[in-house]
Amino acid sequence: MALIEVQGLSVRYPRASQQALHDLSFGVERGETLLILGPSGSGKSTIGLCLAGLIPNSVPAGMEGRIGMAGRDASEMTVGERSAAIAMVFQDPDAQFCMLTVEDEVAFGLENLAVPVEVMESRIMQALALVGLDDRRHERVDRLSGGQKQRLALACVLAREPSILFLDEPTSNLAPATRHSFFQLLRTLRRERPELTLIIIEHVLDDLIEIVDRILVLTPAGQLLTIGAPSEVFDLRDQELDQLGIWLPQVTALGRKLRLAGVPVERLPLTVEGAVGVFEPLLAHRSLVPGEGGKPRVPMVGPAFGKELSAISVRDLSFRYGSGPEVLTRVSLDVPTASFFALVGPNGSGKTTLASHFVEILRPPIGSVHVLGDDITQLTTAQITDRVGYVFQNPEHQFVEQRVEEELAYSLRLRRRPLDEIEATVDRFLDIFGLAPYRKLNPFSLSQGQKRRLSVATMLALGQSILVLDEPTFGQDRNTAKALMERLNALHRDGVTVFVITHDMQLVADYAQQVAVLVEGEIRFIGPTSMFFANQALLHEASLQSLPLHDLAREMGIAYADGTLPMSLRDWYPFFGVEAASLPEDVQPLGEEAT
Amino acid sequence: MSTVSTSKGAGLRILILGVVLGVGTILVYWFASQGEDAWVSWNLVTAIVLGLIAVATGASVGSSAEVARWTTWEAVLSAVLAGVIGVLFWAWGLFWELLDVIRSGIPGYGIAVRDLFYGFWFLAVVLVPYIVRRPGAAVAAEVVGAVVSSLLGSQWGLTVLISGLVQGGLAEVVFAARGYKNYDMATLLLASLAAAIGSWVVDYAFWYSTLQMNILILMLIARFISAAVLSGWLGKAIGDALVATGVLDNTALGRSRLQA
Amino acid sequence: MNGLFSYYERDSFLHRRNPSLKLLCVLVFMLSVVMAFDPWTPLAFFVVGLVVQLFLGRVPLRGTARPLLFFFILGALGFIGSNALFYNPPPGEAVTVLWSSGVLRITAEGLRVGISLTMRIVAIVIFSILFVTTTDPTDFVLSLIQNAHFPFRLGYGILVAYRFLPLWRTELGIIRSAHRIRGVGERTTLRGRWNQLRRYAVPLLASAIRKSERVAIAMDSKAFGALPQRTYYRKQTVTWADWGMLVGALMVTSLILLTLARFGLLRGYGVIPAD
Repeated sequence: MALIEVQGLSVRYPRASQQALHDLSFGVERGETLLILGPSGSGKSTIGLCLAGLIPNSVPAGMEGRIGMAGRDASEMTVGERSAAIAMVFQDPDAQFCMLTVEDEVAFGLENLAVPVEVMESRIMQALALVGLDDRRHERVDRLSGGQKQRLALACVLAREPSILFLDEPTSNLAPATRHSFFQLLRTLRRERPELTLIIIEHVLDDLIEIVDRILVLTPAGQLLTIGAPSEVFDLRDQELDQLGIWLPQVTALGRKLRLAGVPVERLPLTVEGAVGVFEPLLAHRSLVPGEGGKPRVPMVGPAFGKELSAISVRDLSFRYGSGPEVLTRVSLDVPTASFFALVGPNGSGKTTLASHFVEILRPPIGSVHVLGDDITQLTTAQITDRVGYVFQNPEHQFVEQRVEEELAYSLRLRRRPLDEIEATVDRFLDIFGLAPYRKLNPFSLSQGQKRRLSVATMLALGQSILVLDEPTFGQDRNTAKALMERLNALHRDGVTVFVITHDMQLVADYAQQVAVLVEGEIRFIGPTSMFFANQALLHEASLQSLPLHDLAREMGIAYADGTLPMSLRDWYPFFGVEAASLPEDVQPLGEEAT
Repeated sequence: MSTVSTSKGAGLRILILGVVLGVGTILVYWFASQGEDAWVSWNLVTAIVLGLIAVATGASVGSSAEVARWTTWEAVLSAVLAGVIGVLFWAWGLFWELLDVIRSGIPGYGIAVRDLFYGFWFLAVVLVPYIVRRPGAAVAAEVVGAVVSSLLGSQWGLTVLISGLVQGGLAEVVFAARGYKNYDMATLLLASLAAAIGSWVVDYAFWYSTLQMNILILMLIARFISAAVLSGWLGKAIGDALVATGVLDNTALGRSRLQA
Repeated sequence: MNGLFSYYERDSFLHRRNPSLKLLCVLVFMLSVVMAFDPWTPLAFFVVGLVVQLFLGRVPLRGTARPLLFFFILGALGFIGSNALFYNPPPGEAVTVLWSSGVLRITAEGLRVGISLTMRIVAIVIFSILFVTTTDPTDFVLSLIQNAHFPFRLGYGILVAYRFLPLWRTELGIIRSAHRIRGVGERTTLRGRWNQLRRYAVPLLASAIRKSERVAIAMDSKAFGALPQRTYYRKQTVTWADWGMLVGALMVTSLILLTLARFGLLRGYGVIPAD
């Protein structure tokens, strides 16, 4: 008998016009690892809330259907029994805890279940040891990094010894390297606690897919699309998954694309190791000259930069906060006009600090930062904001008005532009960014993706030619991220200089022309994207995750003649003898999310 | 863990407890001041001060039973809001220091000038009940603000615990009198005025009982004006602006808008 | 967030005492000080507070000397000034006018009361410092819950609020930068600050509300308040030493008050010395 039996589950939130979940039925076996996939707004988190009993007890929503756990009807279980059976880890590392120190937080869950104090000690130690935080027992929670906080969340949950663990996008707010180590932890957990049932919602599957037994896919309407083993689901339902915008592990996506082009891919691989075996026999070339068999994806940018060619130019910039340690050390870089430029580096390396100098949030010394040829310290704030738009990581921080259309009009009004010009510009931007249906809404009530688009739009309203973005794809699912990046790419093709601070290596690989690597305040590398990814030592030094396809290329010994690696999916086709032009473009509907 | 609705008649109970305690205290004071070798001498202002402190204490104690019935969300939200408002003030901190210097610089009337800005301290006591709409919200907002600020080592130290209790208690009386159902502008203004009286009463007892009446009355008027604008009116304005953002959809305030 | 003084971690008699009872002792001292209008009472209590902090609390005076001095000066200016000019004598007390001009006058009694009030503020501050530096914030809140019947959901809410404070400070800083880039200048005029407050309040509060909703759900998912009983990892016990501390505080208070009354120095409490 299945451990969890869900029958006919339907949920509707108070103000929603549609149901979040509709007539959902499935079972989960004891000890299995179930992955839940679905586009945003498909109700994935709602499943977790229902299983844990938070709907309808803590979160107001109408619920129908039956949930059975270990044979009993869940609604007949007391809250205590329910909570002892299933435990949840949530997405936001900053909003899961209530106590000040690590051990207090782990103890909190035990206190709630009236666990005797004598027993608590050993449970706490065990749980902390399992996640690798035993040496930080007495540490204050707010001093932990994002990754450590999520580990703590896991420890809290494990200490309660539940039978079911539900993880709701635990790594969405983490950097890729941290995500990698978190999944490693999950793999260890999976090995050491075979009786534990895991249910996970995730978007970036490459590292995780090994331990997944089955995948459950939801439609945007909250209905069950399919449930089955990963290889089956990816193989048989790939068309639908693609339409829903669900991202497959990279190697699986490659296999699928190749198969669509007529290459006889035996089965779709899930991991890099598996992919080597599947693709080896199908290779046509192991080495190509860039440009042969398909155009190089990005134009190479000329090496000679003078001030007049650069959108932003930095020379010997050093910075420290007050009397603290040096955050930036003699940083020099040039951002070519109309380029797509990415700044990467580990957490705390000073990326945001550097970018803050571009708009004078932090004031640089005279002569060290030039924007469009002018020294930034000689420009007024108005002149700076006329040239450079800066989009913050959290779009809400920038909103100043109560309605979307007013938000767009704000900068224009401040500059006292004529009314008809304001109206025309606002209308135009609402159209370009797909925000027209929301023009009268309050900016805070938009979805994440819509907020992001709005903040980008406001930063271009004055016709700025340079756009600086701080982690634009942070915390978003791949679909929304891609939609945003496509818009940015369109802007870039129109001549806007796009400067992005990011952890998202996929973004860098797919869109960036130039990459600068900042480690501990020093520039370690500036150059074309392809050279960046080819340099494994650099990636390692900067604690950056290499992409699965690059790992695959290295494993299989595939490269271009100059040592660089194929960047995106399309770059791979020539190696299998496929004409790049013969494949349909990835079509992503713009103006996407259901939320 | 489900939403436990307000127990019937909670407002009335809290009101009665407050009033009984207030009147009782005044009576005790009166008795103690009778006769030749009385312990204390009768002073009307002292009587009023003691009475109001007693009313506030009664209301606070009476509402704590209700606070125990709040949901986790209500408790956490109230506490966090009180804390954030504290941070907003901290950003104003330097400005306040400047005002304090004015107060010290101009004897007597300087206090009244500073008090024109006093209303800020009551923002939480209006905003939190406006959003949460449960018995004890006013007291909770003030007490949480007091506990947090004293833990941070604010300059008023532990006296804030007492002024918090009294301010919150008197504001609570206003909300109780409206049955915890009516949260219109009039109610909020009255509550902010009640909190202002509370602050005046405690400051009188601690610091200003030796000053002449004209200064004291100026202080009270300044606090009234300030409370009405900087907490009553501002509190509602901020609350309404927040409702428009949609973050308050699951709160009592948000739900009341849905029905409207 | 940095206040003027905060918890100073150490092992001492005071550090080990139950926070609720410690608070009670401090309130006893504070209330005694508040009711006196002579400079000797607050001075005596101040000395007691100082001695207790240094020897029973083992908290050095280093960090606390500055706030003390600050309040002394501020208080002195404020109280002495106001009371000298605007002193309202209790019925039956004669005033000695030292200087007068038209409506204004300076009284000797007013000056004396002003000095007493200045001493009062210093005495109150030392007890606040005493309490805050020897009490761990979590223990304080837990003690309120476990010993003083503070509603426990609100109590844990206070811990959440306390935890979040540094986060709000950072966010406020970011919001300010973000608004500055939008062209919202930072004005130092009154009206400017007023508008600023309204502009910052909404994003900051919206973020706070959202985060607190998530925390509440997380807490509920951990069965917070679900069972009728809960256990406590950090049990706040009340020992004989705690009661001893309270008794000691009462005794010291009475001793001071009686001694001062004996020497005719006590003023206030409805008592006016014979002179």
